[in-house]
Amino acid sequence: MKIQQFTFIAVLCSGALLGQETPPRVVSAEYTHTQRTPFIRVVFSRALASVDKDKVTLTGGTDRVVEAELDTTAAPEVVVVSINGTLTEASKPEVCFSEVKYIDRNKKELVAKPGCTTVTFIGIEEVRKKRDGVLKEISNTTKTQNEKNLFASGFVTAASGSSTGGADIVLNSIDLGVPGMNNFLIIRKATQEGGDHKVFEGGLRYRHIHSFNRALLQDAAKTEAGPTLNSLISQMQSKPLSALIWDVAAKLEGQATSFDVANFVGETGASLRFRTGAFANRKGWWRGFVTPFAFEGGQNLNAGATANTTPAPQPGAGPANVDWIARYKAGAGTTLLYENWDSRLPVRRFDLEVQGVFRNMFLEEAFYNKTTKLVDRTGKGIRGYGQAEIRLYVGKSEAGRYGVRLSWHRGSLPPVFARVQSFQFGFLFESNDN
Amino acid sequence: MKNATKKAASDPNAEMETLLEAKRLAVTTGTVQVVIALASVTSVVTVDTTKKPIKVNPPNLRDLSFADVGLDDDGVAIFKENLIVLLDFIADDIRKLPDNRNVNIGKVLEFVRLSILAAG
Repeated sequence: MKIQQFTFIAVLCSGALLGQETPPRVVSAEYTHTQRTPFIRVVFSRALASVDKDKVTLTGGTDRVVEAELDTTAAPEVVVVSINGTLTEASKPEVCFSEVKYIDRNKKELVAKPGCTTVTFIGIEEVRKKRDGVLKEISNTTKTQNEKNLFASGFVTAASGSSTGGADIVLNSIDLGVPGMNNFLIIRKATQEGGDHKVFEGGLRYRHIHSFNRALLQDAAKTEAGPTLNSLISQMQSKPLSALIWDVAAKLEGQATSFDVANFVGETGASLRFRTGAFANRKGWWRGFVTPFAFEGGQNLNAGATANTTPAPQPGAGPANVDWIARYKAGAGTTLLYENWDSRLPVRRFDLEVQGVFRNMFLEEAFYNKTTKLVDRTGKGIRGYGQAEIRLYVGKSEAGRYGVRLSWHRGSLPPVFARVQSFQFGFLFESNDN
Repeated sequence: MKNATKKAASDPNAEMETLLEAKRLAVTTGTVQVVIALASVTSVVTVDTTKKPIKVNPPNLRDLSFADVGLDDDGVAIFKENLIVLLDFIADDIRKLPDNRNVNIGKVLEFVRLSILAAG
Protein backbone atom coordinates (compact mmCIF):
# COMPACT_ATOMS: atom_id res chain seq x y z
CA MET A 1 0.00 0.00 0.00
CA LYS A 2 2.83 2.36 0.93
CA ILE A 3 4.56 1.60 -2.36
CA GLN A 4 1.37 2.40 -4.28
CA GLN A 5 1.01 5.74 -2.43
CA PHE A 6 4.63 6.66 -3.19
CA THR A 7 4.17 5.85 -6.87
CA PHE A 8 1.03 7.98 -7.02
CA ILE A 9 2.80 10.99 -5.45
CA ALA A 10 5.79 10.56 -7.76
CA VAL A 11 3.51 10.54 -10.84
CA LEU A 12 1.75 13.70 -9.59
CA CYS A 13 5.08 15.45 -9.00
CA SER A 14 6.47 14.52 -12.43
CA GLY A 15 3.24 15.74 -14.04
CA ALA A 16 3.59 19.05 -12.27
CA LEU A 17 7.22 19.28 -13.36
CA LEU A 18 6.35 18.55 -16.97
CA GLY A 19 4.05 21.57 -16.98
CA GLN A 20 6.89 23.88 -15.88
CA GLU A 21 9.94 25.06 -17.72
CA THR A 22 13.34 24.67 -16.15
CA PRO A 23 14.62 28.14 -15.23
CA PRO A 24 18.10 29.09 -16.45
CA ARG A 25 21.02 27.82 -14.41
CA VAL A 26 24.71 28.56 -14.76
CA VAL A 27 26.56 25.93 -16.80
CA SER A 28 30.00 27.50 -16.57
CA ALA A 29 31.76 30.70 -15.52
CA GLU A 30 35.17 31.02 -17.16
CA TYR A 31 37.92 33.56 -16.76
CA THR A 32 41.17 33.96 -18.67
CA HIS A 33 43.71 36.52 -17.59
CA THR A 34 44.36 39.09 -20.35
CA GLN A 35 45.83 42.57 -20.55
CA ARG A 36 42.56 43.91 -21.95
CA THR A 37 39.16 44.44 -20.35
CA PRO A 38 38.97 41.57 -17.87
CA PHE A 39 35.70 39.67 -17.98
CA ILE A 40 34.05 36.45 -16.83
CA ARG A 41 32.14 34.55 -19.51
CA VAL A 42 29.10 32.98 -17.90
CA VAL A 43 27.18 30.37 -19.89
CA PHE A 44 23.58 29.65 -18.87
CA SER A 45 21.53 26.58 -19.67
CA ARG A 46 19.15 28.62 -21.84
CA ALA A 47 18.86 32.00 -23.55
CA LEU A 48 18.25 34.97 -21.26
CA ALA A 49 16.07 38.01 -21.88
CA SER A 50 18.02 40.45 -19.73
CA VAL A 51 20.46 40.80 -16.89
CA ASP A 52 21.04 43.78 -14.63
CA LYS A 53 24.62 44.47 -13.50
CA ASP A 54 23.33 45.53 -10.05
CA LYS A 55 22.06 41.97 -9.60
CA VAL A 56 25.53 40.52 -10.23
CA THR A 57 28.23 40.36 -7.56
CA LEU A 58 31.67 38.87 -7.10
CA THR A 59 32.84 37.14 -3.95
CA GLY A 60 36.25 35.99 -2.82
CA GLY A 61 38.23 39.12 -3.71
CA THR A 62 38.18 42.87 -3.91
CA ASP A 63 37.18 43.06 -7.57
CA ARG A 64 33.79 44.45 -8.48
CA VAL A 65 31.45 44.11 -11.43
CA VAL A 66 31.71 46.97 -13.92
CA GLU A 67 29.21 45.69 -16.46
CA ALA A 68 27.07 42.62 -17.08
CA GLU A 69 25.78 42.27 -20.60
CA LEU A 70 24.22 39.57 -22.72
CA ASP A 71 26.26 38.50 -25.75
CA THR A 72 23.02 38.10 -27.73
CA THR A 73 24.62 38.26 -31.17
CA ALA A 74 27.18 35.52 -30.58
CA ALA A 75 25.34 33.37 -28.04
CA PRO A 76 22.09 34.44 -26.28
CA GLU A 77 22.78 32.12 -23.33
CA VAL A 78 26.03 33.94 -22.50
CA VAL A 79 26.52 36.85 -20.09
CA VAL A 80 29.77 38.80 -20.22
CA VAL A 81 30.60 40.12 -16.75
CA SER A 82 33.24 42.83 -17.07
CA ILE A 83 35.20 43.43 -13.88
CA ASN A 84 37.82 45.84 -12.61
CA GLY A 85 41.20 44.52 -11.61
CA THR A 86 42.40 40.96 -12.05
CA LEU A 87 40.97 37.83 -10.51
CA THR A 88 43.28 35.45 -8.70
CA GLU A 89 42.67 31.73 -8.55
CA ALA A 90 43.84 31.63 -4.91
CA SER A 91 40.89 33.80 -3.82
CA LYS A 92 38.45 31.18 -5.24
CA PRO A 93 36.10 33.84 -6.64
CA GLU A 94 32.42 33.20 -7.19
CA VAL A 95 30.08 35.10 -9.51
CA CYS A 96 26.56 35.47 -8.13
CA PHE A 97 23.35 36.31 -9.94
CA SER A 98 20.56 37.31 -7.59
CA GLU A 99 18.23 37.70 -10.57
CA VAL A 100 18.10 37.15 -14.34
CA LYS A 101 15.11 37.33 -16.68
CA TYR A 102 14.12 34.85 -19.37
CA ILE A 103 11.22 34.27 -21.72
CA ASP A 104 9.18 31.09 -21.39
CA ARG A 105 7.48 29.19 -24.20
CA ASN A 106 4.35 31.36 -23.79
CA LYS A 107 6.52 34.42 -24.44
CA LYS A 108 6.07 35.54 -20.85
CA GLU A 109 9.01 37.19 -19.07
CA LEU A 110 9.97 35.30 -15.92
CA VAL A 111 12.55 35.86 -13.19
CA ALA A 112 15.11 33.25 -12.09
CA LYS A 113 17.58 33.31 -9.21
CA PRO A 114 20.58 31.27 -10.37
CA GLY A 115 22.73 32.02 -7.31
CA CYS A 116 26.52 31.70 -7.08
CA THR A 117 28.99 29.72 -9.21
CA THR A 118 32.73 29.26 -8.73
CA VAL A 119 34.79 30.88 -11.49
CA THR A 120 36.95 28.45 -13.48
CA PHE A 121 40.34 29.73 -14.59
CA ILE A 122 41.28 28.82 -18.19
CA GLY A 123 44.94 29.05 -19.17
CA ILE A 124 46.16 30.70 -22.37
CA GLU A 125 47.44 27.39 -23.77
CA GLU A 126 44.01 25.79 -23.44
CA VAL A 127 42.41 28.80 -25.12
CA ARG A 128 44.91 28.55 -28.00
CA LYS A 129 44.05 24.88 -28.51
CA LYS A 130 40.35 25.73 -28.66
CA ARG A 131 41.05 28.58 -31.09
CA ASP A 132 43.04 26.29 -33.40
CA GLY A 133 40.22 23.74 -33.28
CA VAL A 134 37.67 26.35 -34.35
CA LEU A 135 39.98 27.56 -37.14
CA LYS A 136 40.26 23.98 -38.43
CA GLU A 137 36.46 23.70 -38.52
CA ILE A 138 36.24 27.02 -40.39
CA SER A 139 38.94 25.99 -42.87
CA ASN A 140 37.05 22.77 -43.65
CA THR A 141 34.01 24.71 -44.87
CA THR A 142 33.17 23.70 -48.42
CA LYS A 143 33.98 26.22 -51.08
CA THR A 144 31.32 26.10 -53.78
CA GLN A 145 32.58 26.04 -57.31
CA ASN A 146 30.10 28.47 -58.79
CA GLU A 147 32.07 31.35 -57.31
CA LYS A 148 32.93 33.46 -60.30
CA ASN A 149 35.50 36.10 -60.90
CA LEU A 150 36.55 36.77 -64.43
CA PHE A 151 39.32 39.13 -63.53
CA ALA A 152 41.15 37.54 -60.73
CA SER A 153 41.14 34.16 -62.34
CA GLY A 154 39.67 34.10 -65.80
CA PHE A 155 36.97 31.83 -64.45
CA VAL A 156 33.77 31.55 -66.48
CA THR A 157 30.34 30.05 -66.12
CA ALA A 158 29.77 26.40 -66.89
CA ALA A 159 28.29 25.35 -70.18
CA SER A 160 26.37 22.41 -68.88
CA GLY A 161 23.78 20.70 -70.99
CA SER A 162 21.87 17.48 -70.66
CA SER A 163 23.73 15.70 -73.45
CA THR A 164 27.17 17.17 -72.99
CA GLY A 165 29.83 16.93 -70.34
CA GLY A 166 31.81 19.61 -68.62
CA ALA A 167 34.06 20.22 -65.67
CA ASP A 168 34.72 23.34 -63.64
CA ILE A 169 37.49 22.80 -61.15
CA VAL A 170 38.49 25.70 -58.93
CA LEU A 171 40.98 25.27 -56.13
CA ASN A 172 41.99 28.30 -54.15
CA SER A 173 43.81 29.68 -51.19
CA ILE A 174 46.06 27.13 -49.59
CA ASP A 175 47.67 29.07 -46.77
CA LEU A 176 51.18 29.84 -47.99
CA GLY A 177 52.20 31.58 -44.79
CA VAL A 178 52.69 34.94 -46.51
CA PRO A 179 49.97 37.53 -45.80
CA GLY A 180 48.05 38.32 -49.01
CA MET A 181 49.58 35.40 -50.96
CA ASN A 182 47.57 32.45 -52.21
CA ASN A 183 47.54 29.98 -55.06
CA PHE A 184 44.88 29.01 -57.56
CA LEU A 185 44.07 26.33 -60.11
CA ILE A 186 41.22 26.67 -62.57
CA ILE A 187 40.11 24.25 -65.27
CA ARG A 188 37.11 24.97 -67.51
CA LYS A 189 36.43 22.27 -70.05
CA ALA A 190 33.29 21.02 -71.79
CA THR A 191 32.47 18.73 -74.70
CA GLN A 192 29.68 20.96 -75.91
CA GLU A 193 30.50 22.74 -79.16
CA GLY A 194 30.32 26.48 -78.60
CA GLY A 195 30.44 26.02 -74.84
CA ASP A 196 34.01 24.87 -74.33
CA HIS A 197 36.25 27.63 -73.02
CA LYS A 198 39.37 25.42 -73.10
CA VAL A 199 40.76 27.26 -70.08
CA PHE A 200 43.46 26.07 -67.71
CA GLU A 201 45.12 28.43 -65.23
CA GLY A 202 47.36 27.78 -62.28
CA GLY A 203 49.63 30.06 -60.33
CA LEU A 204 50.37 32.28 -57.39
CA ARG A 205 48.66 35.53 -56.52
CA TYR A 206 49.54 38.35 -54.16
CA ARG A 207 46.67 40.58 -53.15
CA HIS A 208 46.62 43.97 -51.47
CA ILE A 209 43.34 45.43 -50.25
CA HIS A 210 42.87 49.12 -49.60
CA SER A 211 39.67 49.61 -47.61
CA PHE A 212 37.87 52.90 -48.19
CA ASN A 213 36.51 52.68 -44.63
CA ARG A 214 39.90 52.44 -42.94
CA ALA A 215 39.88 55.96 -41.44
CA LEU A 216 36.31 55.60 -40.16
CA LEU A 217 37.13 52.22 -38.63
CA GLN A 218 40.19 53.70 -36.91
CA ASP A 219 37.88 56.34 -35.43
CA ALA A 220 35.38 53.63 -34.45
CA ALA A 221 38.09 51.76 -32.53
CA LYS A 222 38.64 54.91 -30.47
CA THR A 223 34.94 55.52 -29.83
CA GLU A 224 32.85 53.94 -27.11
CA ALA A 225 29.50 52.36 -27.97
CA GLY A 226 26.79 54.98 -28.40
CA PRO A 227 25.43 57.61 -30.81
CA THR A 228 28.89 58.71 -32.07
CA LEU A 229 29.81 55.15 -32.97
CA ASN A 230 26.42 54.70 -34.67
CA SER A 231 27.12 57.82 -36.71
CA LEU A 232 30.51 56.42 -37.83
CA ILE A 233 28.88 53.13 -38.89
CA SER A 234 26.20 55.08 -40.73
CA GLN A 235 28.92 56.99 -42.62
CA MET A 236 30.55 53.70 -43.63
CA GLN A 237 27.21 52.35 -44.84
CA SER A 238 26.56 55.41 -46.96
CA LYS A 239 29.71 54.92 -49.04
CA PRO A 240 29.05 53.19 -52.37
CA LEU A 241 32.58 51.79 -52.72
CA SER A 242 34.04 49.35 -50.26
CA ALA A 243 37.65 48.77 -51.31
CA LEU A 244 40.26 48.77 -54.02
CA ILE A 245 41.77 45.33 -54.61
CA TRP A 246 45.13 45.16 -56.28
CA ASP A 247 46.26 41.76 -57.55
CA VAL A 248 49.65 40.64 -58.83
CA ALA A 249 49.77 37.09 -60.20
CA ALA A 250 52.19 34.78 -61.94
CA LYS A 251 50.45 31.94 -63.75
CA LEU A 252 50.65 29.24 -66.34
CA GLU A 253 47.73 29.39 -68.74
CA GLY A 254 47.12 26.59 -71.19
CA GLN A 255 44.60 25.13 -73.57
CA ALA A 256 42.62 22.67 -71.45
CA THR A 257 43.43 19.89 -71.66
CA SER A 258 45.85 19.33 -74.58
CA PHE A 259 48.25 22.22 -73.83
CA ASP A 260 48.73 22.89 -77.56
CA VAL A 261 49.17 26.42 -76.31
CA ALA A 262 50.85 27.22 -73.01
CA ASN A 263 51.74 30.70 -71.82
CA PHE A 264 53.62 31.93 -68.81
CA VAL A 265 51.88 35.14 -67.83
CA GLY A 266 52.38 37.84 -65.23
CA GLU A 267 49.25 39.77 -64.38
CA THR A 268 48.44 42.89 -62.43
CA GLY A 269 45.20 44.75 -62.05
CA ALA A 270 43.10 46.96 -59.84
CA SER A 271 39.46 46.33 -59.07
CA LEU A 272 36.97 48.58 -57.34
CA ARG A 273 34.48 46.73 -55.18
CA PHE A 274 31.06 48.16 -54.35
CA ARG A 275 29.62 47.67 -50.89
CA THR A 276 26.77 45.16 -50.75
CA GLY A 277 23.66 47.30 -50.82
CA ALA A 278 20.36 46.14 -49.34
CA PHE A 279 16.86 46.80 -50.65
CA ALA A 280 13.26 45.66 -50.02
CA ASN A 281 13.72 45.72 -46.24
CA ARG A 282 16.94 43.68 -46.53
CA LYS A 283 15.18 40.86 -48.37
CA GLY A 284 17.32 41.72 -51.37
CA TRP A 285 20.85 42.87 -51.99
CA TRP A 286 23.22 43.66 -54.80
CA ARG A 287 26.98 43.94 -55.15
CA GLY A 288 29.29 44.76 -58.00
CA PHE A 289 32.81 45.46 -59.16
CA VAL A 290 34.59 47.42 -61.85
CA THR A 291 38.05 46.59 -63.14
CA PRO A 292 39.16 49.68 -65.02
CA PHE A 293 42.72 48.54 -65.48
CA ALA A 294 44.59 45.25 -65.69
CA PHE A 295 47.61 44.16 -67.67
CA GLU A 296 48.74 40.67 -68.69
CA GLY A 297 52.22 40.13 -70.10
CA GLY A 298 54.31 37.04 -70.69
CA GLN A 299 55.61 34.60 -73.22
CA ASN A 300 54.25 31.67 -75.19
CA LEU A 301 56.11 28.55 -74.09
CA ASN A 302 55.50 26.37 -77.13
CA ALA A 303 55.66 28.71 -80.07
CA GLY A 304 55.47 26.68 -83.28
CA ALA A 305 54.80 23.40 -81.52
CA THR A 306 51.17 23.40 -82.64
CA ALA A 307 52.32 22.84 -86.22
CA ASN A 308 52.99 19.23 -85.21
CA THR A 309 49.39 18.48 -84.31
CA THR A 310 47.38 15.91 -86.23
CA PRO A 311 45.87 16.50 -88.70
CA ALA A 312 48.44 18.98 -89.90
CA PRO A 313 47.35 22.61 -89.90
CA GLN A 314 46.87 24.50 -93.12
CA PRO A 315 50.00 25.88 -94.79
CA GLY A 316 50.86 29.31 -93.58
CA ALA A 317 49.29 28.77 -90.17
CA GLY A 318 50.43 31.36 -87.75
CA PRO A 319 51.08 29.99 -84.24
CA ALA A 320 54.78 29.67 -85.07
CA ASN A 321 54.87 33.47 -85.08
CA VAL A 322 53.56 33.72 -81.54
CA ASP A 323 56.11 34.70 -78.93
CA TRP A 324 55.48 37.52 -76.44
CA ILE A 325 52.13 38.34 -74.90
CA ALA A 326 50.83 41.77 -73.94
CA ARG A 327 47.18 42.39 -73.10
CA TYR A 328 45.15 45.18 -71.50
CA LYS A 329 41.88 44.16 -69.93
CA ALA A 330 38.92 45.83 -68.28
CA GLY A 331 35.47 44.82 -67.22
CA ALA A 332 32.66 44.86 -64.70
CA GLY A 333 30.14 42.61 -63.02
CA THR A 334 27.15 42.68 -60.74
CA THR A 335 25.13 40.22 -58.67
CA LEU A 336 21.61 40.80 -57.47
CA LEU A 337 19.51 38.62 -55.19
CA TYR A 338 15.97 38.89 -53.84
CA GLU A 339 14.65 36.28 -51.43
CA ASN A 340 11.27 36.12 -49.71
CA TRP A 341 9.99 32.63 -48.99
CA ASP A 342 6.79 34.04 -47.45
CA SER A 343 5.87 35.72 -50.70
CA ARG A 344 2.63 34.81 -52.45
CA LEU A 345 4.33 35.20 -55.80
CA PRO A 346 5.37 31.96 -57.53
CA VAL A 347 9.03 33.06 -57.58
CA ARG A 348 10.41 33.18 -54.02
CA ARG A 349 14.04 33.78 -54.85
CA PHE A 350 15.65 35.53 -57.80
CA ASP A 351 19.40 35.56 -58.53
CA LEU A 352 20.92 37.57 -61.37
CA GLU A 353 24.58 37.61 -62.25
CA VAL A 354 26.10 39.57 -65.13
CA GLN A 355 29.80 39.89 -65.94
CA GLY A 356 31.75 41.18 -68.91
CA VAL A 357 35.42 41.60 -69.82
CA PHE A 358 37.30 42.80 -72.83
CA ARG A 359 40.93 42.34 -73.71
CA ASN A 360 43.06 44.24 -76.17
CA MET A 361 45.96 42.10 -77.41
CA PHE A 362 48.84 44.27 -78.52
CA LEU A 363 50.77 41.32 -80.03
CA GLU A 364 49.83 38.29 -82.15
CA GLU A 365 48.52 35.32 -80.16
CA ALA A 366 47.48 31.77 -81.04
CA PHE A 367 43.75 31.29 -81.70
CA TYR A 368 41.59 28.19 -81.77
CA ASN A 369 39.97 27.57 -85.14
CA LYS A 370 36.47 26.13 -84.77
CA THR A 371 36.43 24.89 -88.39
CA THR A 372 39.66 22.91 -88.31
CA LYS A 373 39.42 22.27 -84.53
CA LEU A 374 43.06 23.26 -84.27
CA VAL A 375 45.04 26.13 -82.89
CA ASP A 376 46.21 27.22 -86.32
CA ARG A 377 45.40 30.93 -86.42
CA THR A 378 46.76 34.05 -84.86
CA GLY A 379 45.25 37.37 -84.14
CA LYS A 380 45.36 40.51 -82.07
CA GLY A 381 43.09 43.38 -81.19
CA ILE A 382 40.01 43.39 -78.99
CA ARG A 383 38.29 40.22 -77.76
CA GLY A 384 35.32 40.40 -75.45
CA TYR A 385 33.49 37.97 -73.26
CA GLY A 386 30.19 38.27 -71.42
CA GLN A 387 28.00 36.03 -69.35
CA ALA A 388 24.64 36.35 -67.67
CA GLU A 389 22.79 33.94 -65.47
CA ILE A 390 19.35 34.06 -63.92
CA ARG A 391 18.12 31.57 -61.34
CA LEU A 392 14.48 31.57 -60.29
CA TYR A 393 13.53 29.47 -57.27
CA VAL A 394 9.95 28.49 -56.72
CA GLY A 395 10.21 26.26 -53.65
CA LYS A 396 12.40 24.68 -51.04
CA SER A 397 12.43 21.68 -48.79
CA GLU A 398 14.71 20.34 -46.08
CA ALA A 399 16.89 18.83 -48.79
CA GLY A 400 17.34 21.99 -50.80
CA ARG A 401 15.69 24.54 -53.09
CA TYR A 402 14.53 24.15 -56.65
CA GLY A 403 13.68 26.25 -59.69
CA VAL A 404 14.95 27.04 -63.16
CA ARG A 405 18.17 28.46 -64.51
CA LEU A 406 18.86 30.43 -67.65
CA SER A 407 22.38 31.27 -68.70
CA TRP A 408 23.99 32.97 -71.64
CA HIS A 409 27.68 33.13 -72.56
CA ARG A 410 29.29 34.81 -75.51
CA GLY A 411 32.85 35.71 -76.51
CA SER A 412 36.29 34.22 -75.96
CA LEU A 413 38.90 33.91 -73.25
CA PRO A 414 42.64 33.23 -73.25
CA PRO A 415 44.78 31.33 -73.89
CA VAL A 416 43.30 30.09 -77.21
CA PHE A 417 40.29 32.40 -77.44
CA ALA A 418 37.90 29.62 -78.45
CA ARG A 419 34.62 31.26 -79.40
CA VAL A 420 31.79 30.46 -77.03
CA GLN A 421 28.17 31.16 -77.77
CA SER A 422 25.66 29.30 -75.71
CA PHE A 423 22.27 29.72 -74.13
CA GLN A 424 21.00 27.22 -71.61
CA PHE A 425 17.76 26.64 -69.83
CA GLY A 426 17.29 23.93 -67.27
CA PHE A 427 15.72 22.87 -64.04
CA LEU A 428 17.80 23.48 -60.97
CA PHE A 429 18.07 21.81 -57.60
CA GLU A 430 20.52 23.10 -55.02
CA SER A 431 21.06 20.87 -52.01
CA ASN A 432 21.55 22.33 -48.54
CA ASP A 433 24.72 20.39 -47.87
CA ASN A 434 27.12 23.19 -48.81
CA MET B 1 58.57 54.28 -4.72
CA LYS B 2 55.95 56.62 -3.28
CA ASN B 3 57.41 59.48 -5.31
CA ALA B 4 57.29 57.42 -8.50
CA THR B 5 53.64 56.58 -7.93
CA LYS B 6 52.85 60.17 -7.15
CA LYS B 7 54.66 61.31 -10.32
CA ALA B 8 52.78 58.82 -12.49
CA ALA B 9 49.50 59.81 -10.96
CA SER B 10 50.12 63.47 -11.61
CA ASP B 11 51.53 62.94 -15.13
CA PRO B 12 48.98 64.71 -17.38
CA ASN B 13 49.92 62.54 -20.40
CA ALA B 14 49.32 59.35 -18.43
CA GLU B 15 46.03 60.71 -17.12
CA MET B 16 44.96 61.69 -20.63
CA GLU B 17 45.88 58.23 -21.90
CA THR B 18 43.81 56.61 -19.14
CA LEU B 19 40.85 58.83 -19.99
CA LEU B 20 41.15 58.07 -23.72
CA GLU B 21 41.44 54.35 -23.01
CA ALA B 22 38.20 54.50 -21.03
CA LYS B 23 36.49 56.12 -24.03
CA ARG B 24 37.68 53.47 -26.51
CA LEU B 25 35.42 50.76 -27.87
CA ALA B 26 35.79 48.05 -25.24
CA VAL B 27 37.37 44.80 -26.41
CA THR B 28 35.79 41.87 -24.60
CA THR B 29 34.47 39.03 -26.77
CA GLY B 30 35.01 40.90 -30.06
CA THR B 31 31.35 40.55 -31.07
CA VAL B 32 30.80 44.27 -31.56
CA GLN B 33 34.00 44.56 -33.63
CA VAL B 34 32.95 41.67 -35.92
CA VAL B 35 29.51 43.19 -36.41
CA ILE B 36 30.92 46.66 -37.19
CA ALA B 37 33.36 45.13 -39.71
CA LEU B 38 30.44 43.31 -41.34
CA ALA B 39 28.31 46.44 -41.42
CA SER B 40 31.21 48.24 -43.13
CA VAL B 41 31.02 45.87 -46.14
CA THR B 42 27.32 45.05 -46.35
CA SER B 43 24.14 47.00 -45.64
CA VAL B 44 22.35 43.71 -45.00
CA VAL B 45 23.91 43.89 -41.52
CA THR B 46 23.01 46.85 -39.29
CA VAL B 47 23.91 47.54 -35.69
CA ASP B 48 22.67 49.93 -33.03
CA THR B 49 25.37 50.38 -30.38
CA THR B 50 23.26 52.68 -28.21
CA LYS B 51 21.30 49.63 -27.04
CA LYS B 52 22.51 47.24 -24.31
CA PRO B 53 23.18 44.64 -25.50
CA ILE B 54 23.87 45.98 -29.00
CA LYS B 55 20.97 45.45 -31.40
CA VAL B 56 22.00 43.61 -34.55
CA ASN B 57 20.01 42.92 -37.68
CA PRO B 58 19.52 40.21 -38.86
CA PRO B 59 19.05 38.89 -35.29
CA ASN B 60 20.09 35.36 -36.27
CA LEU B 61 23.45 36.56 -37.62
CA ARG B 62 25.39 33.78 -35.87
CA ASP B 63 23.44 31.17 -37.88
CA LEU B 64 24.17 32.80 -41.24
CA SER B 65 27.08 32.49 -43.63
CA PHE B 66 28.90 35.41 -45.27
CA ALA B 67 27.03 34.56 -48.50
CA ASP B 68 23.70 35.00 -46.69
CA VAL B 69 24.57 38.63 -45.94
CA GLY B 70 25.57 39.34 -49.54
CA LEU B 71 29.33 38.78 -49.48
CA ASP B 72 31.41 36.86 -52.00
CA ASP B 73 34.97 35.65 -51.35
CA ASP B 74 36.41 39.10 -52.13
CA GLY B 75 33.87 40.64 -49.75
CA VAL B 76 35.11 38.30 -47.02
CA ALA B 77 38.68 39.42 -47.73
CA ILE B 78 37.63 43.08 -47.33
CA PHE B 79 35.74 42.23 -44.12
CA LYS B 80 38.94 40.68 -42.73
CA GLU B 81 40.95 43.78 -43.65
CA ASN B 82 38.39 45.97 -41.85
CA LEU B 83 38.31 43.72 -38.80
CA ILE B 84 42.10 43.96 -38.55
CA VAL B 85 41.76 47.76 -38.18
CA LEU B 86 39.48 47.21 -35.16
CA LEU B 87 41.44 44.31 -33.64
CA ASP B 88 44.99 44.89 -34.82
CA PHE B 89 46.55 42.82 -32.02
CA ILE B 90 45.05 39.62 -33.50
CA ALA B 91 45.81 40.54 -37.15
CA ASP B 92 47.78 37.31 -37.74
CA ASP B 93 44.86 35.18 -36.55
CA ILE B 94 42.31 37.09 -38.64
CA ARG B 95 44.46 36.64 -41.76
CA LYS B 96 44.27 32.86 -41.23
CA LEU B 97 40.52 32.91 -41.86
CA PRO B 98 39.82 31.64 -45.37
CA ASP B 99 38.28 33.99 -47.97
CA ASN B 100 35.28 31.72 -48.21
CA ARG B 101 31.74 33.08 -48.42
CA ASN B 102 30.29 29.82 -47.07
CA VAL B 103 31.90 30.20 -43.65
CA ASN B 104 29.43 30.48 -40.77
CA ILE B 105 29.55 33.88 -39.01
CA GLY B 106 28.89 32.26 -35.61
CA LYS B 107 32.11 30.29 -35.98
CA VAL B 108 34.00 33.47 -36.83
CA LEU B 109 32.59 35.14 -33.69
CA GLU B 110 33.84 32.21 -31.63
CA PHE B 111 37.24 32.25 -33.33
CA VAL B 112 37.65 35.99 -32.72
CA ARG B 113 36.69 35.63 -29.04
CA LEU B 114 39.24 32.87 -28.51
CA SER B 115 41.91 34.79 -30.47
CA ILE B 116 41.42 37.84 -28.22
CA LEU B 117 41.84 35.69 -25.11
CA ALA B 118 44.79 33.80 -26.63
CA ALA B 119 46.53 37.12 -27.32
CA GLY B 120 46.84 37.50 -23.57
